[in-house]
Parts: sequence; structure tokens; C-alpha cells
Amino acid sequence: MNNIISINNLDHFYNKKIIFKNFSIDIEDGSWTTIVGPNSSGKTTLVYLLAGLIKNNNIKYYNIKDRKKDIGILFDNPRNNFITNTVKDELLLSFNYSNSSKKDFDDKIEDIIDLLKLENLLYKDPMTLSGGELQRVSLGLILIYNPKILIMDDAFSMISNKDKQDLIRVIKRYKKDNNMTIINFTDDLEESFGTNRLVIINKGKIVIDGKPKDVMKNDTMINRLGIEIPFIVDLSSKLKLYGLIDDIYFDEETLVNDIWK
Amino acid sequence: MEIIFNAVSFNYNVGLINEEQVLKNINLSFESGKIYGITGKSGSGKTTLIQLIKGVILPTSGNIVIDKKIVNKSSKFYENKKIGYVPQFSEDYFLEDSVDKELGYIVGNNTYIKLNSLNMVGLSEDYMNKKINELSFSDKRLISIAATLTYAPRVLILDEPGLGLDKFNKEKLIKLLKNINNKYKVTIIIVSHDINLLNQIVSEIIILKDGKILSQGSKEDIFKKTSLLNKNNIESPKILDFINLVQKEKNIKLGSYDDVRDLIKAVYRNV
Repeated sequence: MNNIISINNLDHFYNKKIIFKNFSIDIEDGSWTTIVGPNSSGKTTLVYLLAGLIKNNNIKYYNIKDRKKDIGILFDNPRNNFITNTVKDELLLSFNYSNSSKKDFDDKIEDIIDLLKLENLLYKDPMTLSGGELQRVSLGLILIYNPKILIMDDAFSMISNKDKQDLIRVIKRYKKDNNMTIINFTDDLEESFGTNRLVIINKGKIVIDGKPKDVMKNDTMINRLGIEIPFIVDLSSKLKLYGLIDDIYFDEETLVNDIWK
Repeated sequence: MEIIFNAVSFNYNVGLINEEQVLKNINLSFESGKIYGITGKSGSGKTTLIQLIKGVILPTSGNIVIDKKIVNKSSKFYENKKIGYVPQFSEDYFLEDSVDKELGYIVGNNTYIKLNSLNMVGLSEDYMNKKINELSFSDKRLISIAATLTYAPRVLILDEPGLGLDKFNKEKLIKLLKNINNKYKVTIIIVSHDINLLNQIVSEIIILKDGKILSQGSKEDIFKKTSLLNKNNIESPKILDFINLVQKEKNIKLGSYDDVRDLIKAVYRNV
């Protein structure tokens, strides 16, 4: 597989403090990578570096022509990102920057409204929307540009679990249809269930990197870093110690059925 | 300090064409020294309820009684720091640019109180010399709590206090709130979506929906109402979900536990 971003031996300092020293990571085109780290692990800096918001010569992008459009970033708190008085105006505003014909743009907006179920929000003031609704609109504003990479920075931390599940489902669907690459920075390991890769970072270094299930086998180490192990993983790895099951589970029903066969 | 809501309603834009009732006939009492969790979807009226307790807004009808006095325009529980409020975004809290000045906003140069407050939230004296903008997200949260504790409020309200905190800081927060409640009998009101966090701190839960109280009572009683919670898209604690699933699928009663280790033992006994 081809990489879409490649960081090679990167050093990064902030206020003369080392944040990253000799840091390397490759992001595969079309993959879904979850990156988790405790508070002050360098996570936020890595978001900025990958998104190209901090320039560094040791980061290479492949097939990225216009970074502003090809890399979309969904932040945790979008309440300050809106300029106009309605969601519709907010969507239309992006036409000027979209470089597409009016027809293509209108089609795209239709798709986005459909995909994210924005019909009922179109004439509302963004400032009056709930957290979950705001995040849906914000995602729409990013997808208008057909980004090749979507970076999420704690994007689900301020919305309800139901809104989060809905959004993740939409993103999964869009990713499948458009081969978008996803890099999700989060505190919640559960968000890596069913994705390609989970990377745990701490103090500017990659501590564990692999398939989510394999990574989560290191639960003691992850716990020691101050990262919460999802309930179902915690439960199944402890039951495994007792010899009641022999694997880690991501799904409660399967777990229950395997314990009481 | 007891807080009682008697048939409280609150309308925005009273008398205007876009008048909107955001709280409807709320009857509640927050007893002294207990820990309450308020949950409900965005737009259910949580923020308005808090604004009413702070006295920033007054009921459109009904009344609120705090410390046996009906709250009116001249009540100053919040201004007089009997009620402390820690917002979701620490940026909304800070009025000064350094930790020292922020902690001294009410108590001035009283270094003893300032250091004591830092100590209570588990931060070292070194923090006194730090600038607010060089603090991490979780430290900002802890400093905003410390600054609130400098004036020893009788009621402490926190909006989504666990948000953005990692496991260690969350555990620290849980311990801190339980401690303050235990030692100083401070009434604590936590507004949060995070049911698992509430489960670890509070004893009472209030669920709001469309400006009304959907349910209120002890944590244990509320979490028993599985179908009500499900119907309203409110999560129950994961540990309880698992216990219920086992009962439903395998007809095995594991019992009721807060801690995973106790649950494991129960599973082991029942295999």
C-alpha cells in the first residue's frame, strides 16, 4: 500500500522544550488510524504537524495538491468557527473556495445535506445548535471539499454517545465510498474498534503501534500511561486471567455467549 | 445549604412572539451535603437550571428557596461566593493571566489559602508562578476548581468536569470531589453526559428532558429504570449494562457492583 503522509526523523521544539525527537510515522492511503495519548503526550502538536499547520521539512505528503482542501480537520469545539447566521449560508459560503462549477457544487451540497441529515438545520442559526448538530454541520463543511484526509482532534469529546455513534457511522460510509484516509486523535480507545490501526503515544514517542486488538493486549502498560481501557476490554482481559475465556473481546454479546457456552 | 425549586418555570423572551418555555414546572430539592448529577440531552434545560441556581436569571413562575430564603433580585448567593461554579471551558472562567493572581482574585494576598487550594486539587506550589496560558487543558480545569475552592463555597456546581481529562486526572478529580463533599459537607452538583463518571461520584441523579424532569432519585433507583433510559437515549453505566445483558441472555443474576473486580468474582462464581 502507498503512504499518504510520511514523517521521517522529525524534531520539534516548543519554547526550547523537546516535543518530538527523531519521530517517524507513516500513514497509509485509505487507512483509519486512531492515535491515543495521555494529557501532554504531544498529541495536539502531532495534529498540527500532520495537518500541515506547523511547517516541517521532514513531513512528506503524497497526492496532496492543496493542503487546505485535501486535509480536513474536525476539532472538538466548533462553536467559534461559524461566521454567518444560518447553516445554509455557512454551506454556500464555501463555494467561493471550492473551485468547482455551480452545478457540481450544488450537487455536492445536496449530497452532504443528505448524508449528514442537515435538512432540518438549514435555516437555523449555528449558535443555537446542540453540540452534536454543530459537529454534523462542521463535518459537512469539511466534506464539501472532498478531502483526501480527515483528521479528527477529540472531535467526539463534547457530544453525546448517541450523536457520536451516528457521526462515526456516517464517516465510515463516506470513507468507504471516497477512499478517504482517517486519522482520529482521541482519548477513547473504543473508537478504534473495527479500524485498521491503533497508535499509543507518550512523551513524544510511539509506545505501541498495531492492530487495535493486539495493541489492547498491553492493557497494563496502557493503564499505567493514564489511558482508560474500554470497559469490555478491561473485563475480558481480566476474565482471561481467570481462564474463563482466551481472547480479548470488543463485543459484549459475543463475550457473554463465550463465557456461558 | 439547601436549595429548593417550587414549581419553577422559566421562559425566554417573555411576552414576545418567540416566547419559549425552557423549564416547565420543576420541583426539586438539593439537600445539604449530598452529591447530585444532572444529565439529559443538549437543550433539555440543564444550563438554564444552573443559571437559576446561580441567580443569574429568576423564575418566570414558581420560586427557588436557598438557605430558607426565596431567591429574588437582591439575593447574592453567587456574588457572595456561597455558590461556586466551574464552567465546562476553563477559558470562560479565568479573569487573570497568572495562577497566583487567579487564585487571589477573591482572597487577595492570602498565600496560605492559595497554597491550600492548590494542595486540595493535588497541584504543587510551583504552579503559583505559572501563567494561565502555559497550562495544559487538564491543569486549567484543576486551577479553575482550586480558584473556586479559595472562597469555600457551600454549593459547588461543575459543568462537564471530566471532559478532556485523562484517566489519572479523572481519578484525581473524583477523589477530590468526594473529599470536599465528605470533609466540608459541600453540596456538589455535576452536570454531565458522562454516565460512567456520574456513577463514580454522585448519589442522586436528575434527568431532564425537554425542560421537564424525566426522572429523579437515588443513583441505584434511576439505573434500574432500564427501559426509560433506553427510550430516551441515556446510557446506563457499562458495568450495569453487562449485568443486565447476562440476566437477559443467560438468566443469571450476578448482583449489583460498581467495581469491575467485584464483577469478575461474581462471573467466576456463576460459571
